Amino acid sequence: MAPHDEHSQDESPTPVDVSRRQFLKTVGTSGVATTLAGVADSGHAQTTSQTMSPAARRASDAPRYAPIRQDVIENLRKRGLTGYVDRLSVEPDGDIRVMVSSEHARYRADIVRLIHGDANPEGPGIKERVIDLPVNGEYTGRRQDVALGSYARVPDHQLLRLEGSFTVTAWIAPTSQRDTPRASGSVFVGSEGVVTKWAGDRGGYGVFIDETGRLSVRLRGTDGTTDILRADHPLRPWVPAIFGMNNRPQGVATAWYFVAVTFDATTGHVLLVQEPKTDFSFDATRATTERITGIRELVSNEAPLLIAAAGTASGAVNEYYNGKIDNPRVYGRVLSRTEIDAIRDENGPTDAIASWDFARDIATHVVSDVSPHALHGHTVNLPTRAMTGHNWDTSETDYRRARHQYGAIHFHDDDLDDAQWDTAFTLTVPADLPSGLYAARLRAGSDEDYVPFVVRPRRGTASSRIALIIPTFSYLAYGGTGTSAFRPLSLYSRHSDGSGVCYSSRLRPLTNMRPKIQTNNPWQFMADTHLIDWLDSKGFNVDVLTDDELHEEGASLLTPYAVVLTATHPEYYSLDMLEALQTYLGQGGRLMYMGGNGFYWVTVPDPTGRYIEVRRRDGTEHWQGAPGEHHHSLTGEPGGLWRFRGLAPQQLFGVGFTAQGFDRNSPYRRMPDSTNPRASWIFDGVEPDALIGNFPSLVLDFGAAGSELDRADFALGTPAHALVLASSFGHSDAYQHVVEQINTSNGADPGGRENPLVRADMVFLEYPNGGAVFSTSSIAWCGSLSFNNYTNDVSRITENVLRRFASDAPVPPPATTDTANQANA
Amino acid sequence: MREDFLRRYATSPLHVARLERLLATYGTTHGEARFAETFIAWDRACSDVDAALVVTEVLATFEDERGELIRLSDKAIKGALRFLADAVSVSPAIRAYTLRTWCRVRDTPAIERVITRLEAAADAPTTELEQLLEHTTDNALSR
Repeated sequence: MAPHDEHSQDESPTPVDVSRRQFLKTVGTSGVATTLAGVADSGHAQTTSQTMSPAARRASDAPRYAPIRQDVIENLRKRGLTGYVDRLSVEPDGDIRVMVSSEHARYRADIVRLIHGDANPEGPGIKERVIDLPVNGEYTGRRQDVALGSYARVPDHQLLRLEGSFTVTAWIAPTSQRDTPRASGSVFVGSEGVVTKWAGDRGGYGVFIDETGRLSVRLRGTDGTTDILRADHPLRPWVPAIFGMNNRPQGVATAWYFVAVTFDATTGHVLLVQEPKTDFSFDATRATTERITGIRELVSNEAPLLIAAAGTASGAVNEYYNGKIDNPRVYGRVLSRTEIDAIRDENGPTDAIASWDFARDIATHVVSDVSPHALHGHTVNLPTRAMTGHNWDTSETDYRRARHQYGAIHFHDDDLDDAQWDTAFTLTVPADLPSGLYAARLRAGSDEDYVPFVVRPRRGTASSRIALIIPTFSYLAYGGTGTSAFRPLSLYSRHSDGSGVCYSSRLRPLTNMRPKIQTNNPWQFMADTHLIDWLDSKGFNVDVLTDDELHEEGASLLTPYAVVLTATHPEYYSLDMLEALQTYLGQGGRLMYMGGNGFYWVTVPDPTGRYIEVRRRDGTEHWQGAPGEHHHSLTGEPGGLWRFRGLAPQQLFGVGFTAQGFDRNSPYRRMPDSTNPRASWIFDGVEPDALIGNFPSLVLDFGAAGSELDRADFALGTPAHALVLASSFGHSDAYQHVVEQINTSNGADPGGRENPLVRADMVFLEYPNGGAVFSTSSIAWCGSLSFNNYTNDVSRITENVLRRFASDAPVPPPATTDTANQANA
Repeated sequence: MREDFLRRYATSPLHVARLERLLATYGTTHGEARFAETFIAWDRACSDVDAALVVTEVLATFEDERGELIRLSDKAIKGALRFLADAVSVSPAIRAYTLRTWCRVRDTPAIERVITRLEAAADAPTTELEQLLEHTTDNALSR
């Protein structure tokens, strides 16, 4: 899903009317970011009132940051009981670990096979079967919180145990906007570590942003005192994305500061230098502050050096930093001002104890020290890499072609990789447990949770002619932790500083990947159980696979199957997965695309399969990445829509995303192609003139065509011989054509009441060697399957196709290619 | 607070417009930010993690026969939250389904009955909440 903004015209700031390069040359990046974000200080080229619409000004009056950290922890505790598994797919005889946090002293766990996870009383209700297994039983519960916040960790080294003079320099773009007259109620109230070797009472040193937003240095002396010395002027925070819920938050170019802090142990002299990367000489935040401390000798410690956080005496990590850091350096002496300026100008002294170059090893968790000492470290909790650095000149947007300009890492206080909970119990999957959708059902008092996972067939084997691919990549993309609203930590969420979330890990509670969610718009996991239930009710034996193994094993995973079904919303696909389906179809495989808005976003899993990465741009989406930051850090490949990579889903499956809306679904009307002998068998048992899916649904109450819709588009690659069997109609104006197909906003296409492109097309097409595709083009389709005790035209059509596709008989290709369908719409 | 309200209760940007309409209706007395702050405080105090989300979804579409959004009293809103959070003898999905069904009525007498019911729920003992549910679920499910 990638929701459309209904009011983007009203809410968006007026674009800056100067060329990007000219503007950069004139005022530097600070001016661009702060003006676009509506937080311009006096002295900028354009004021808030000049650049923002009234609605945007109203929005700018509101606090701009979200308390993600607090919300997530609060919501998980409120659930009383929750958990996650160490993998989403497991083979027979394989082990799967279950992690549980419980507010209860005791809880019960049972492994269940999930059939129907939607409790809506209009449908079949919850269907699950308890599997009698040794792990079922009572367990001792305890609370386990999630440790949010990313940073880089460099192991302790004697060279870093400074006791005397030193200098720390870095390029930074801090994003924590603290209370100001314009933004009261900010969630950022504490200090943040930039480069720290700090262990509280156990001593150390560190450069911080203090609780007032000032550059500061913290020293622990051998006399037992701690001194914090601050710059005179707060740094102006960089606002990394245009704010607002109802416009389309878009990343903006970075506003950088060069900062340096020196400590002279001989004199106690401390120098704090901060220089915004702008040509405004009168910028009040361009400042040098001098202080004197009584400390002459520092207490060293054996703690690691942290970048973007600080340690405590107990060894815990806190004081997480929000924003970018580029090329932090530590010197074991006091640098002169000339030397400091030389670093700023890329020509500094070469005797650093450490100089970390984040442009290296971008695809990994390694942070590399390019000094001779090789004090390398690693990142924790997935800060965002492949970020434009202080020296990005806009000439390249692919970090692989200008690596030295991508030396920044964007850290967030709400990043999360692995929650690292202790294992509650480990399930060894019995050798004879059938492939299917399962869950660890947890219960204590009135609290209940399900931790789902898939049991796939043993690798290289198949137990059916039918396979269903559970879209685990899409589950991760949507996977929120905590509340269902706006899915914190999912790829639909934004970080607490407003920048978009690019990575989503499975090693945390995915609290919306669950049955029994209270909604009339079941989504992803819960909606997919409508299909599983239908398959079960109809007696089909089905192997259940996931995106994980489709990406890993490719077409060979699918070869044993006569037919493969997708779930309701397989939106996030890797190149390997697309190629696997293409190969399978070319070899005679048959695919039933049982949903809508599939195969949409370029998606990259990490090599361990622990998390996925998505870089959003130019799609129907919740946020859009910043300029120059659209290439995946893991592979370098460009992100965005497959369509703009030349792989529009219409080419393979006949249809692609065209519209979305979430008020009420519609039925389909049969089209002339439905009587074509090549496909007329699909409608066996269906009244010739009846509307299809014109009855209550478990998705948005009524109709089989809704939520998100796909459409045949011959211009985008729908094969000429594809048959459009039926099309939906009668959608409301809540349904809007996707933004990627609208070139100008003025005179944009109307909504569903008038726009002929707002519809779902049911499509059939044949492949060589007996292969074929049937596409429903509606996320809501499967919500209609169970109506009237599974006796309805949606169920009948689905069954007709599945039985035909699962049979031995090849689907013959058309006698000749019909090119009459070349007209769009 | 307004922004925080939208972030907490919008399940996607598509729903923001509905929530803005809700805020505009409920913010007429003391302002949108004040209402947002009050509602979030009720949410934080509520034992059910998703009750407030469901309540905002239902209230944002609870209209009279002219299509005007109905402005419930604070007591009725708190009743809706309590109903979703505390009638625990029935599954959360049934509670949410019931509240949605109640708030689909459009004629004035029926709307008044719903409001009375919700206001009563604000102070009712849990057993009465569950009785209320049992009493109305049959009708709700008979559609």
